[in-house]
Order: sequence, then structure tokens, then C-alpha cells
Amino acid sequence: MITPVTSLTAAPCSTSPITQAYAAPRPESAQSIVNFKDVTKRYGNFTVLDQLNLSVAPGEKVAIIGPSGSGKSTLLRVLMTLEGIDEGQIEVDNQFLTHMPNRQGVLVPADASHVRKVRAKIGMVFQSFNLFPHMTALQNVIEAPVQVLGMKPAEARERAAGLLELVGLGNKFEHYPSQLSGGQQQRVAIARALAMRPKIMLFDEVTSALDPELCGEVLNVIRKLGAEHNLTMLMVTHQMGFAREFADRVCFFYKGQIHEQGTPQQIFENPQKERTCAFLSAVQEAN
Amino acid sequence: MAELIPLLLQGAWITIQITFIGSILAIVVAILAALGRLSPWRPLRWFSVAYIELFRGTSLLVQLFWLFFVLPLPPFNLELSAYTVAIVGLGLHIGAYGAEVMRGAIGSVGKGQYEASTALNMTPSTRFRRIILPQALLAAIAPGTNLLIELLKNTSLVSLITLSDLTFRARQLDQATFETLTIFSLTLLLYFILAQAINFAMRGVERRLSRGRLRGGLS
Amino acid sequence: MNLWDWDYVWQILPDLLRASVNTLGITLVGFMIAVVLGLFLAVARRSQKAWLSWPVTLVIEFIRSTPLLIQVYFLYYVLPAYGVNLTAMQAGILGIGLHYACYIAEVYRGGLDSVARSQWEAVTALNFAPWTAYRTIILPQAIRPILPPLGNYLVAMLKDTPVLSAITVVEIMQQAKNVGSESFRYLEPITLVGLFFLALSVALAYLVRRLEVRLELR
Repeated sequence: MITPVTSLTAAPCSTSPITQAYAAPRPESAQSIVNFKDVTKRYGNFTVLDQLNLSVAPGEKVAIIGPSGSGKSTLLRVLMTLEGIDEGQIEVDNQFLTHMPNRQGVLVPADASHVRKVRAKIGMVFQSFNLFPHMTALQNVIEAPVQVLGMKPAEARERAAGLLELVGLGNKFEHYPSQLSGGQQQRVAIARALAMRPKIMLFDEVTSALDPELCGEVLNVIRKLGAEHNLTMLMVTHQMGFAREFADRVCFFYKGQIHEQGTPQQIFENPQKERTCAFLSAVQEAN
Repeated sequence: MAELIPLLLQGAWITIQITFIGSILAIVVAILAALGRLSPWRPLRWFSVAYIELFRGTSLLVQLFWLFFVLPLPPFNLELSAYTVAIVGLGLHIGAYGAEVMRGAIGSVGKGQYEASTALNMTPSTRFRRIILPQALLAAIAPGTNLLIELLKNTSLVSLITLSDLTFRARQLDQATFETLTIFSLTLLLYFILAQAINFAMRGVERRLSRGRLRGGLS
Repeated sequence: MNLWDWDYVWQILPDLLRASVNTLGITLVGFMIAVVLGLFLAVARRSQKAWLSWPVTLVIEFIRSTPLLIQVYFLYYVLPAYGVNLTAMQAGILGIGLHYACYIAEVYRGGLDSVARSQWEAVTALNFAPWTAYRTIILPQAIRPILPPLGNYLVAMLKDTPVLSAITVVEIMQQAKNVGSESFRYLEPITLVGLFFLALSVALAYLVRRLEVRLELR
């Protein structure tokens, strides 16, 4: 999954920009917890992420909107290392995600254990929930802490109970996913992701697969998370109303790039670019 | 007829034993071969394909005879008892078919399960052990039951390498008493009952593995 | 004693090849029986008349759940008491044909069931006589998905022919055992037999896949 970065064709130990950049602290990354630098991803001839640059501050809540096929989900997916990138670098919490320094301090493609170390700080909630169907809600939430973090089952169960109560499912511990509604399943998925104590949470169209009346309960949980915890959140969403009131920043995505970004006020009330306006009015029409 | 039954049941007991142990071997081999087939490491993949094609492509009886008659001779010089040959032969033969069943079953587990496991930072081996394999096993039960019944029926061939299973005893009794119709009818009936027992047991296993997965009422 | 005696191989090859003709003959004749008998069984099983479908279902399930070897023993050792004296060859071919007819009946059933309900309804609405309906409308559509499984069962039958060595049918496995016991060298005969089956089953499996592609089922 880790593809070699083409800009590292320079000989090792040369004064290429990357080695220099790594040796000294970089001003912009010191203040960002997620940093995309010139990230490009292609599927064959189709470029889905095009020289993408994005810097997210700790605790910032970023809503990513845009037409389908613009690469919004792919942004989250490459951050979660579900897919690789072809060019550029991604930094998470002052560490390179897709690369790592070798003994000479030169950046090389990261090996699996480095990726896992950095990836541990990120959690993700999916559009189709992806709960483990052969486990109860409680078991879903304790699985990763026990298996990956080595937590003792009793402690994991206590934490899981707390998390499930946080998302309003205190009475559904022993239910299997097939016995829960879509909204309930998604809330379990959120609890499951939180159980790994991530610093960054990714939400990939988490209400798109839900019946309208069930969206509210999930959005409420996200609101609660935003208010009570200092999590950095990146959300791909079609819920414009929610993005407007909840996000610190809105990014309008178009053809693999951030076409326009700003505060919700700026984007929703005062869009500057034509495409942004076109998209927003089309969404208005649909509602 | 009353005198026949105890001896037939003795044979049936051997049949049950080799069916059971052979099944366990077949399941283990099937999972290993399926994993080998899906492995990114080419030598392992080729070895698995070779094993699967070899044991599926040749007749079980040929395999049993090879293990029983050829292994004791040079250059192998490995003498296995008929009992061992039976279990190994049946296990490897059915395991090859089982590998294809497992491959299909593993493939039927949705991509989202892999993604969720990655998002939770699981290693590939934890992911396979805790998330993928349990779901794959459930999917493998229906075709797997048919394979286990095939295994049961194939145990009759071990009578031809002198193992005293149900078929062997039936032939023995037939040659001794000539009550041919009764003996072979009883034998067929016993195999039929054993096959239904396998069906019943597998349905129980399926029920247990799919606990909570079938649509229950919201409570 | 060296590992692999090529002289020995050339020596026994004619005997094995002659027996392989038997093997192939048994497979083909048995297959023809299974294909035809299987069709009758399938239609009978799907019949609306309970007095026909229930016994047939029972027979099919019984034969599918019990070993071929015992069924062959039955035909060879039990029937003579009722005046039916089959030769080993006849009992073998009949046994294998009957056994696989039951599997093939299920394949037919699947194929017939797969023909869309609408076709069955149209045929009834247009008042086709049952046999005409099958012949002109239903069967042509059911045939395509049936052919690959039939091909696979042909291969399976081929690989089951050694079972008949138990009633002394001189097919290739029996011949190998005879030859081996004469000179106490089993490695070459049994390995050759194994290669024979491997080669044939790989070739046939390949042909079945080609057929699937041609029928656009893949």
C-alpha cells in the first residue's frame, strides 16, 4: 500500500529539500496536527487527489463538502491508510505518516510498524458502519482495545460501557448489530472508534446511509463529542445545516482539490467561487 | 439379524472415528491451503495451488493406495498403519476441495470489515483471526457440510486398504453368512443415518456461529 | 533397487493403457446413463403428484447420502439372489450411472428452477401440452447453466471408476494393483495411474471452463 514517493529520486544524504526540511522544524507543521503536502493520488488515468494541500489545527472541526467523485472520501481514506498515495507527504501529529526517516535521516517509504504507530492516533467512522456482525455492541467496542492495545478485558469492558452510554446506548450492550437500527449501529461505530483514544476522528458521510429520522441521533453524538472533547474532526458530509453550525472550517472540494475554504459563514453565505455557488444552490434545490 | 448388528456397529465405530479425525485434518488443511492460495508470497501460492490441483485431480483411491503401497517401499520407507493412511488420505483429499470452499468463504467477507479493522489499527493476523475467519467459517458451513458428507461416504474406500470400517465388516459378514440383502441394506441405512447426523450437527454449529446475526426483533 | 525404473514403466505401460480404455468406456457409458436417468428423476421429483415426487425424492437423497461402493456391492452381490446376474462390468457401470444420476438430477432441478417463473406462466397461459412446453420453451433455456456442472460430474465419475476395482472390474487401478503385486513394485504403476487421472481431469476441467466461456456463463 505504501508507494515510493517520486520526489525522492535524489541520492541519499544529498541536500534535497526533504532531508533539509526534516532536519529543521517546519513552522507550519508545528501548529497542525494533520498536514497534506502536495498529495496526489491516481486511479489509472484518473487523478482523484490533485496536489492537495491541507493543514488542520489541533481540535479543529473541518467539514468537507463537494460533488460526488470529487475525492472527498479519498482524502479521508488515504489519511486512514486504507489507500496509498502516489505523490506528496502526509504528516500526522508531527510525524510523517507514509514515510519515515532511516538511519541517515533520509526519508524512505514507511514500513508497516511505523504506519501502525502513527495510524494509532486516527479513528474513522464509515458510511456503512462496518460493525463486526458476529459480536455484540459491547464486544465490538472492546475488541480493538483488548487485541491491539493489550488492555485487560475487565478494564476494556468498563470503558466500553462508559462510551456506549456516552452515545446513548447504555441499554444495548448485549445486542448484535442485526438487532440495532442504522442510527444505533452508527453510534456503536463511533463508540468503537473512540475506544482507541484517537486524537483525530474521521467521519466519512456517516449519515448518508441512514433514514432521515435517524440522522439526528448520530449528529447529536457528534455535537456532544465536539463540545466535551478536544478531538480534531474531519467530516465528509452532505448535511449542510450541520456543517454550518458545527464546523470551524468548511472546505469545498472539487476535482481533487480544495476549491474554496473558509468559515461556515464565509462559505455558505458568501461563496466567492462560481463552482461553490453552483454546488450550494444545487444542494438548496434538492432540499 | 441380531448377531449381525454388533459387528456392523464395530465397523461403524471405526468409520465414525476416521470421519471425525479426518474432518478435523481436512478443515485445518483447507484453511491453511486457502491462506496459502491467497498469500502474496509466490512460492507459497504455487505450492498451495499444486497441492489443491494434485489432490483434487487424482482419485482418492489412487491416493490411498499410493500412501498404503508405495510409501513403505524405497525410497520413502515410511510404513503407516491403515488407520493413519485412511485419516491422512481422506484429510488431504477433502482438504483440497475444502480449500476452494474456504477461499470462496473468505472472499465473501465484505471489504468494510477489512477497512474497519485497519481503522482500529489491527495487525493483519489479528484481523484474520478475530474478524475475517469467524465470518468466513460461517459462510463455509453450507458447502462444507456437503464436503463432510462426501468424506463420510469416501471412508468406505478404506475397506480396500484392509481397514475394518463399516464397509469392510459388511463384506466380511456377507462372505461369512451370505445374508447379503440384510447386511448391505443395514449398511446403507447406517451410512444414511450417519450422514443425517452430520447434517444435524452442522446445522447446530451454524446456529451457534450465527447467534445474533439473523434478523431478530428490536427490543 | 533404483528409484524409478523406466524399463519397468515401458514394460507395464501397454497393460495399463489397455485397462485405461476400460476406464474411459465405463465413464462414458455410465455418464450417458446418468444424464438420461437423471432427467427422468428430476422431472419426477418436480412433479405435482405427491405419490411420485416423495418416493423419488427419498431415493435420490438416499443414494446421494450413501457410498458408491456399497451401492455397487449391492448390485453385484445382492441381485443374483433375485435372479439378476450382472457381470462385474455391468454392475459397475450401472452402479456408477445410478449414483451420479441422482447428483445430475439435482443439477437439472436447479436448471429447471432457474428458468424464470414468467416462462412457466406463459407456457400455461398459452395452453401448451406439458411435453411440448418442456421441449420447445423450458429445456432450451435450462440447458445453458446445466452444462458446466455436468462436465464437472463427468470428471468426478472418471475419478470414481477405481472404486469398481473392488468388484474386480479390470479398470486401470485394478490393473495397476495386479501388475504391482506381480513384481512387488508399486511405485511406478500407482504413480502412472495417478498421473493418468491428473492429466485427464485437468484436461477435462480446462474444456469445461472453455465451454463456460463459450456459453458466456463466466
